Amino acid sequence: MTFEEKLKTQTDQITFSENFQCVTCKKMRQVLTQKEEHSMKKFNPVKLIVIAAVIAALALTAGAVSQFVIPHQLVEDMALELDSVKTVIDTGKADKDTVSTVQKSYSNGEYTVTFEAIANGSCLRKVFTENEKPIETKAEETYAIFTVKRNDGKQVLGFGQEEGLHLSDIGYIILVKGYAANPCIFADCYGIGEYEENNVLYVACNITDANLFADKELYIAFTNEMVINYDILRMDKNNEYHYVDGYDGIPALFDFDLDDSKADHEKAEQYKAEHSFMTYEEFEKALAEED
Amino acid sequence: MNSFGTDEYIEETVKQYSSSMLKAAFSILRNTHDAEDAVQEAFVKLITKQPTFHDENHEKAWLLRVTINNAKNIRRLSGRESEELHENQGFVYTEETDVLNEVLSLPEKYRVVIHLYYYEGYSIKEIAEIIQKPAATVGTLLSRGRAMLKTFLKG
Repeated sequence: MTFEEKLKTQTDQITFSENFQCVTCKKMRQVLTQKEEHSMKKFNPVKLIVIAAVIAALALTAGAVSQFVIPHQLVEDMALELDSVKTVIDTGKADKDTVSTVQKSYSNGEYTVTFEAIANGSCLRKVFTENEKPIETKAEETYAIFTVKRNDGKQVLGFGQEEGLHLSDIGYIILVKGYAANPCIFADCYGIGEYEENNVLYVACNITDANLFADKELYIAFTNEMVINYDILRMDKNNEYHYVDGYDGIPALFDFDLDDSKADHEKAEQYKAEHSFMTYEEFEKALAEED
Repeated sequence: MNSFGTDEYIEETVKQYSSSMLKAAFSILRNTHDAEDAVQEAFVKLITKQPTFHDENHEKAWLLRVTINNAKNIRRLSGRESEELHENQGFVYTEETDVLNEVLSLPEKYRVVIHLYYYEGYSIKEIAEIIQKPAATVGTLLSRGRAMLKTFLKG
């Protein structure tokens, strides 16, 4: 038997779950159903009526601070200007220990991506859902909140052949200055979710791992080409990051700060080793070996 | 060309491509459970993104590319690249799987190219398009992978 024949025969001996195809088909049908429901749920008048009623009720309560109205003093204290993310962050639970504003935007003419805030899970509203159930966010974990809007005001997410972004393509990667862009820290958006309301796409990503490097210079890069190519950025010899040539997505790159006190040098070293972080020289050497 | 919403399309697509996709994912992850996750996620992306394909070859190449990217993502997030081959990863390694053992012992960048070339029968140019590297790089990876497998390639 030739090498090729042996490899084929032996590879064909690998067995996978008997019900894999059945389970996969079921999952695909569920996704299709959710997509269809999502496209019908752009505007929910019932939800708005309920919110209005709650505001009215709270306004009647003496001394009540509505969680839908940001107290003037709180705004001054925190420089909070989070109108655009009121639906995501419960301002009644927000204070300087749970939310810090970022509000940095990038626009490529077609879309505007805004890094709105960094928040603990304790003050994120249960607006993110999976299979209609609210997703629980963890108080001790750190989330980055983004909004994405189309500059022409149209719906952000497209499905199939519709114009717009595709949810599965959107991702965020976190970069620690001085280390190559790949491998890197991935912001976990799975299980947290994204949702669109009034043509604003809200995204919450779990960036807890970045806390290990909280005393370093950090960046977070948006991509809407995640499924196509995750090699979207390169670091140059001056440790500056650039989206690679041929990247056709939105090149929104932001620097950000975390609470220095959360840095853990020992765990950071472990993380770097486990994830094969490379300096510029190491990465160039690896590339040269590959070529 | 595609009727993404039909049960018939879903079942036929999964039936037609899942075997290739699972084995490509396994060549990276060396773990049947993780390979299934990577492939399932690829099918979900297919149904979510609903791309337009020229033909079935294009469709298969797209699915393999997404699967390989998903697998690399899983491997990266789990930090398991340095793991030795274990029996408890959903596959039993024996003397009769000697060639497969050797291929799976190669560094990841060689084994996925070896898998696509020898198992799937893709050309260097086709592999380059799937894994999105220059054809010259694929040629080098294949050449170096073969050098590491010299003993087995003689047989």
